[in-house]
Amino acid sequence: MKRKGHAMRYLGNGSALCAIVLCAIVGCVAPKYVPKSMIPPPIKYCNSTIGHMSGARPWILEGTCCCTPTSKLIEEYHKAGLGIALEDLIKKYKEAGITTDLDHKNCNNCCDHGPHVVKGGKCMATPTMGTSNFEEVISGIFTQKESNGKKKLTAHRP
Amino acid sequence: MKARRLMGCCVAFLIVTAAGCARHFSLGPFAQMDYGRSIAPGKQAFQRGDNEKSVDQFKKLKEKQGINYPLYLLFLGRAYMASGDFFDAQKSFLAAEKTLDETLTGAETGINLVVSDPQKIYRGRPEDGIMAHYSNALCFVKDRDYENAIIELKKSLLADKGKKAEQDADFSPVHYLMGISYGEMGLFDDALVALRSVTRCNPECAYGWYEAAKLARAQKNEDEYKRCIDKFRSLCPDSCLNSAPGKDGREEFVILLDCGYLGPPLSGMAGSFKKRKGSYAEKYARVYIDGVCAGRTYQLGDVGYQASTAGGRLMGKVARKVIGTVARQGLSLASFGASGMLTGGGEADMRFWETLPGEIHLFMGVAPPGLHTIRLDFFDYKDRPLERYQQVWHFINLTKGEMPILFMRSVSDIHNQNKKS
Repeated sequence: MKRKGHAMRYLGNGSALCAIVLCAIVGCVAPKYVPKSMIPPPIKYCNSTIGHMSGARPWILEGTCCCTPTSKLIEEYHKAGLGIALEDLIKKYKEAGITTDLDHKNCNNCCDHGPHVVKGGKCMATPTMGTSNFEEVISGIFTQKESNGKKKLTAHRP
Repeated sequence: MKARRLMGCCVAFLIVTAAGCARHFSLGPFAQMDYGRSIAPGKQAFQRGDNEKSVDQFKKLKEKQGINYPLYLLFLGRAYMASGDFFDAQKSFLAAEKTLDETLTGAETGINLVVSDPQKIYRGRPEDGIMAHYSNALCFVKDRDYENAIIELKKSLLADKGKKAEQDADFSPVHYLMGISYGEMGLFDDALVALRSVTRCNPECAYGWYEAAKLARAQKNEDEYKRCIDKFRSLCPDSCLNSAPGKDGREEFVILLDCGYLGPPLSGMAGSFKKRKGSYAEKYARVYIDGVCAGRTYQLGDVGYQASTAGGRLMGKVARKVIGTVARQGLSLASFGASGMLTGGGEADMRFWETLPGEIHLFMGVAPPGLHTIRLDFFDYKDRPLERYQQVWHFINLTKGEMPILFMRSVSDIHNQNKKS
């Protein structure tokens, strides 16, 4: 009877230990799920996909507009009181080594000029809708990552 | 007597050389293991949804080249595509297509004859051609270059089609993209033919009927429109498209959703005898636009089925009858002669494009122009929600006259905010 009691106790202890180990493993393997918010972060930088935010100045002129330079965009700038010609704007981007949709498209800022200017790179091609990069570029909120040994910069301009 | 001795020496020399070759090349299992080890980091990163790391890993492999070079290009192309970089994805897929189409040099053919299957220069599986051309076409569609998209889609259909006249290409995603592309080019008759193929190959895909109905209405074919829209409504009663057949100022968008992963080949031969099935939980996704349910995704194409068929027929059915007995004996003899003697046993080649999806799903939704937040809730085969697969995408912009096509894939924990902290 005593032996049986001992055996039961050992079995109980063993089970408890197993349960603790199992819980620890499960806890380590699967982090608690926290869903992403359905409320979008505020828009900080505009681009050609979401459309121009009225009043935003071009990125190259210390602004928050990352739209591709077009004659339509220049009209918007003029309406907002910014007198700049299309050729001059394109020239300014070229001089700064910034590439736009006029140079290449659909790279999602993963090209050699990347990341996006907002992230400290030299690529201002419109990012691909429905990707993390797209959201980060618009909101200006992103985590610092390292890739290819190069440290990417965080958003550096208001 | 001398001649006999010389002959004997020659034979002995040949056997020794062959044995030497065999020792050199008979690393079949190790080659497979090395290959598995080399792709593991990139593959795991891809499955985790870490596209950036996946691209970096496959880039490194691509630079190494070697016998698996076409496969690395395909892996890289898909990683680029998942990260939204359609520009580089296209370059990779084009390079892969070119490499797979290239004829081997004499020396390469010679090497392929003597080495075991896993050590052969990778020449592609049936699904590689179909999916590489399809993915490339998707890149062209993203770029609104519909003419080139059609060329790629036709190549994809050719890769899918069997050699017999009665066999037909039955991969619906290709027909669907073709319908969209022809529609955008204003070639409505061709578009209707392509979309009819979607409804014929996959009658359960509700959105194929919806697209066909739209085209029928554009052509003022009211009978066809009624037939297609009724079918759509019966299949998809909870879709947001039901309330707006005339769109009433709202704009449409499309989600092409990759679900799961393609299962491994069942045999080392190019054609498997059964349908390849990957093990994945997700069956479909329910889509919410700004928190309101807009419908669910429907399977547009089964990649596992395509990987096991040619022209809509299971390869096994054809192959078993025709080559079943004769060829198998012949193959076993040949493998004994070629692989068995030289390489010490024929090992099945298990290399395949492992980042391919198991299924391609389609969703079509409609919403007012402007910015929207889209949520995808995934469900398993028993209609139980898969919480960790949930995806939320902000700033989805719908503009007048444009139908954006969003490319997405099911990944566990991709939007788990806890992971990042």
